[in-house]
Amino acid sequence: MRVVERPSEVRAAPPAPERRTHVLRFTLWSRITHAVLGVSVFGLVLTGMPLKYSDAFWAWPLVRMWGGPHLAGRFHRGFALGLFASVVMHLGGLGVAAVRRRLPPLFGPDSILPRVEDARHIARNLRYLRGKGPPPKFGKFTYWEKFDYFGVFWGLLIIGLSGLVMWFPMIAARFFPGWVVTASLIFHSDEALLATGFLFAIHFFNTHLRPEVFPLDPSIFTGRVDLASVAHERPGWYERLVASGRAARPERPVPAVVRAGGIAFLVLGTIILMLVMLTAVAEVAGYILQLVSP
Amino acid sequence: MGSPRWAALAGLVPAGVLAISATVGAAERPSRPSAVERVTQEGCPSCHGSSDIVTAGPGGDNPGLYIPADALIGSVHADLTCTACHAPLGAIVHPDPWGERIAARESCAGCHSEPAREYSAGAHGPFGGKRAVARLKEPSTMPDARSGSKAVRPSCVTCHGAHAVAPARSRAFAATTAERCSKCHADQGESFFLRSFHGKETRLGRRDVAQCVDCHGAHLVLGAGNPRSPVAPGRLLGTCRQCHRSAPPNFAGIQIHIAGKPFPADPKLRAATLCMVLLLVGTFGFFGTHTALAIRHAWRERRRADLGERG
Repeated sequence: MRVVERPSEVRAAPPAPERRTHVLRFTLWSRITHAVLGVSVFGLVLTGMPLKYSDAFWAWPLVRMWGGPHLAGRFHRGFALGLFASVVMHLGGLGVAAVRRRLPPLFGPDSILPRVEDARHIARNLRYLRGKGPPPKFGKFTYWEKFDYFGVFWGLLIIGLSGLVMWFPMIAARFFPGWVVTASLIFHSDEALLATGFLFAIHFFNTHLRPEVFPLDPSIFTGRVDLASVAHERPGWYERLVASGRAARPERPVPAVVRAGGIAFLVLGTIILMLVMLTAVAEVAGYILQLVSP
Repeated sequence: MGSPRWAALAGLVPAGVLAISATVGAAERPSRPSAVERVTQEGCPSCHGSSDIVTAGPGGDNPGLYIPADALIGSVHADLTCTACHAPLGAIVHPDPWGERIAARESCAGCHSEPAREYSAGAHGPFGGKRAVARLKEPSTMPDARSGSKAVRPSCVTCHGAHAVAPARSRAFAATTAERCSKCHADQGESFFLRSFHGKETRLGRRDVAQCVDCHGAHLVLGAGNPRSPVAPGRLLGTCRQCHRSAPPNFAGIQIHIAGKPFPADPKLRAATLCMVLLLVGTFGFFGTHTALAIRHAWRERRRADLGERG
């Protein structure tokens, strides 16, 4: 049972939507872009992490899988190009949409841009999750989804620039002092840990492993989400969808191969997360022990 | 090429090895005595070939005195006899064990004069790279950075081994260089393996990246403060350019192993690390709590639904 704050909410509550009625959440282009991004990130983590934690027990088997540290480095640069391609694809898609005047709304409650309302949603949701109030009325994008989206840009800026500096140290050292190259290693390495932990723990849980959709939210592969869950999870967007009379689409079954592939990536990501976090926590614990004991 | 013939010849090699090893100790001796036999001929193993000698000497615990008969097999010195390096025994007891040990070290110079000269002039040498070469009479010491006590300076055998001398140009020897240096330079070794791409790739099995000696020198080791050192500010770029041929001047400013842990000693790098740690702690702190709350909430909802079903 959802806790109802005011009686007026009962009246405003939408009628139960028809089953097997879906709405488009991600365009085909967005889905392809996400797939390129996802595969690149997996490749980058699998080729980069064994270098970051070269002492870990899993580093050598992983590097051998790629054919040695030199080839793993080559693959890492290849996957980096894939990541860069996904950014170009996304920005290019936005550019084309802008020219065609089909850009998604930049302002208003269903924009992906951060709004003051998001801060209220955070406070309200933290209360709700502790069982102390009604859930916030999310629009098309929740605040954590906005964080996921802009986190990719932020992360790519740090990890991409520092990666380029280390990819071309000769060129970098012609324009920057030497310490910039050393600092790039620090930024790249720590941002990689942040991205790995965030994607494989926070993003995976919030998106796929939450009980409503466990073990996979296939909407990023099919592009569609059923109206019932929109009404439940994003009531603000649902109301506006209904009010605008935007046509709902028939359900498209999730192909088994898509479901299996998605779950395989989730399992792989979780295994990587366990290994990387085990090593990272052991490293931090080692530092703390050294600080504590004289 | 007749490959079956080559295969047959290759097959003869292990057979030959077996045949030769079978003749060792047999009545019919091979024309060239094996390492084991040459050592045995001198009589040293009658005492040093038994592990009893470890507890027999003064102090009662001298594992270095026990030299198994196979100690020289596989060594580049497998052709040498004991007395090629050690002074021959004058009486039943050794009159001056320390002197003999130093003499044994100095005996390397008899063949390897150039490395010995370089070593003696370097920081590892008896005068810490500060004085001209002179004959060494006593075990030379250097202050140990960590314990504060005086430790015996490294000599040839500290790095190359006494009896199982590995070929210095072999890949196996090159691959373990940093491990050997780390026995004394533990902090530098750790930062090399954990915080430099040279070290990380070495650990992961790459054999064509720079090791300690490639930048710091092998025998003529000199501190960075010495202008003749390959890592002195004035010469560092040239050292990088041994491999990174087109390195621009700023390239030498790249810190190859970041000193200081967990936070680097260099103020700029320390600031960079602090920024990233704050970002990591902040993001994982907020979203970790957020996710934990969401899991607890989902769990409670599930339990409430179960209770509702059971009615």
